[in-house]
Amino acid sequence: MNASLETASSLPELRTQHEPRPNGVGQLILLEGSEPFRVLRPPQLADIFPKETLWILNDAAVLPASFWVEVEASGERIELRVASLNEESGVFSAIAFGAGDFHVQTELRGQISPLSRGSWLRVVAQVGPAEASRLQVLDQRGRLLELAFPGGYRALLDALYAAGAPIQYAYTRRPHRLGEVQNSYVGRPWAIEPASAGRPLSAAVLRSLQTAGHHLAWLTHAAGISSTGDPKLDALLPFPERYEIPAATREAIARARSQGAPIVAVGSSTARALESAASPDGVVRSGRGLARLKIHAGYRPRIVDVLLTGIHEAGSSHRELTRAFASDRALNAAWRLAATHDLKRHEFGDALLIRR
Amino acid sequence: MQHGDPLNWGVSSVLITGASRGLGRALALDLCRRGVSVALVARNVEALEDTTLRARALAAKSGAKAEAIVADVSDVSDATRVASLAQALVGPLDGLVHNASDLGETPLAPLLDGESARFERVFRTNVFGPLALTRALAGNFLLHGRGVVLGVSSDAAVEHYPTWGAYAASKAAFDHVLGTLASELGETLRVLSVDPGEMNTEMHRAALPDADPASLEAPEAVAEHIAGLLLAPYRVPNGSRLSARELAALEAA
Repeated sequence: MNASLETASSLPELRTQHEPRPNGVGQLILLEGSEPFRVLRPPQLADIFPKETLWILNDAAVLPASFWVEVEASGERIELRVASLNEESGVFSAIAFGAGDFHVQTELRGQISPLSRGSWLRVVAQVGPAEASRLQVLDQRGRLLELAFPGGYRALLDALYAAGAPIQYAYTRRPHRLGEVQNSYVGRPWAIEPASAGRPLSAAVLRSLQTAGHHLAWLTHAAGISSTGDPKLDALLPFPERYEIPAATREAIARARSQGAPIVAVGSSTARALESAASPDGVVRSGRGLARLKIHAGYRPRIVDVLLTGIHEAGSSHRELTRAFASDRALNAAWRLAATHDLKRHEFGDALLIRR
Repeated sequence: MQHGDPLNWGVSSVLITGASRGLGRALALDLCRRGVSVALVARNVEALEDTTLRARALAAKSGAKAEAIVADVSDVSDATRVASLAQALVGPLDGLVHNASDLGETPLAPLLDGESARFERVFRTNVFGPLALTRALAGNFLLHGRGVVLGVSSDAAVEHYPTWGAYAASKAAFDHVLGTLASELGETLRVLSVDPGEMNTEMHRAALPDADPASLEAPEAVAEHIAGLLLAPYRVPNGSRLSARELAALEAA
């Protein structure tokens, strides 16, 4: 069949992985060279790439970014999902959802009533002293709110860790605990949603890569919200996301390139940070930055040779990003292979390892 | 190790449990004085606030940070929050000191007379909680290519003293956890255990109320040796278990 004529509807169904599995399990499809592609288990990763391969991981832990508040004046209850935050000022933006819960798809969630600037909200769950649970509306544009706790960033963190939960997906059956959505190697809690491509990389798999002579490097990227329930806002996704690349990672990239060793980005958030920080001649700047780049079919990656990512349906923003690394024909072939092996899609499912 | 000379590497940012009193407090203040940032974890809000204020005053001079997190280490389900909050507040961590300890029921009781529930609680605080916190942090150390996990042990972990059963068994168990972890992680990290010896602390008074304080080491003196180890942990082999005397000798060397 001519791949360009093949539509999403002609592809087989893939089942969804509803619950997070332990890190290090699952399967990966290696899209490299010509078909047929191979299906691998995570422990085989150390064998398929040469020594000196550089693996770059986003070490952001997932924030408990979803929490319920009550409008003090009206008693209306709202679910807030943090979209971005400023550590210095403590001001944060959030997407507001009205009636319904996480089982309801975001676009079907209720709208909230207009909120005037300066109005007060109160966190529904117990946070500590009563004053610690109050926050103020600074601005509203539809579902998008700008907010702040009088106690600043620390008060926001305390409220999230006392009353918040990880953002839940409509396809999941039960709410996920904060601990079970984390990758095995996470540090600072910068991610609004899980950088879930790292789930195959358990501590044992990371050790096996080190032992086999591969190199590990890291960056921290605030992987953002994936769905706002508002078509206009969704069209802007992914929002600009903050990242930090340490000097050691910049040096490791330069070393890998000079040796001709492959550079693997674990997750689309890692790829986005690296490509955002790269100059046209392929030099990565270290330090902090804001990723604005959108990687799409026509984009030619400057840094990333191999992308480890989840399996997502045609038309999704994740899938769009993978088209910078593989042809539609190859991605559709991988999808069919995934169906044959009963691989699972979505955040907690199986993975693609795409070598461009 | 990925970068630099490992022998010259020392911690820059450490989480300390049981940080409000005794050895934990002394270690926190010592590290802040040396420019190391600390995330201080303890149950007692007032004591923790007091330690944090003092730590901040020292840290301000050296450019380090000191932040408090109220938590009960025995609550395994709280480990993710504690680890994440610590890193949100002080930045990437590269050291973890398991200092919080539960002695068990006092006065100390023989094994046949002790309560099973109390024995279990000792293990939650001294073994399961620290293991959960290690799991929440050490994977990041592994990715970053360096880091120290240090457990405060006891000679009761290797000797058999009547009435010290729960505490001793838990300390032996956690020493074994750390030794096994060291064997699993190769040379990337330093996973260490330190027996600080008998110190003039509230915990020691609870265990042995009649001991002569003059015969006991000041926690500040032991803290200084542990801080020295944290600032050059790759001088000792991974998986080392050091006595107070070995620690002091290391510092002198």
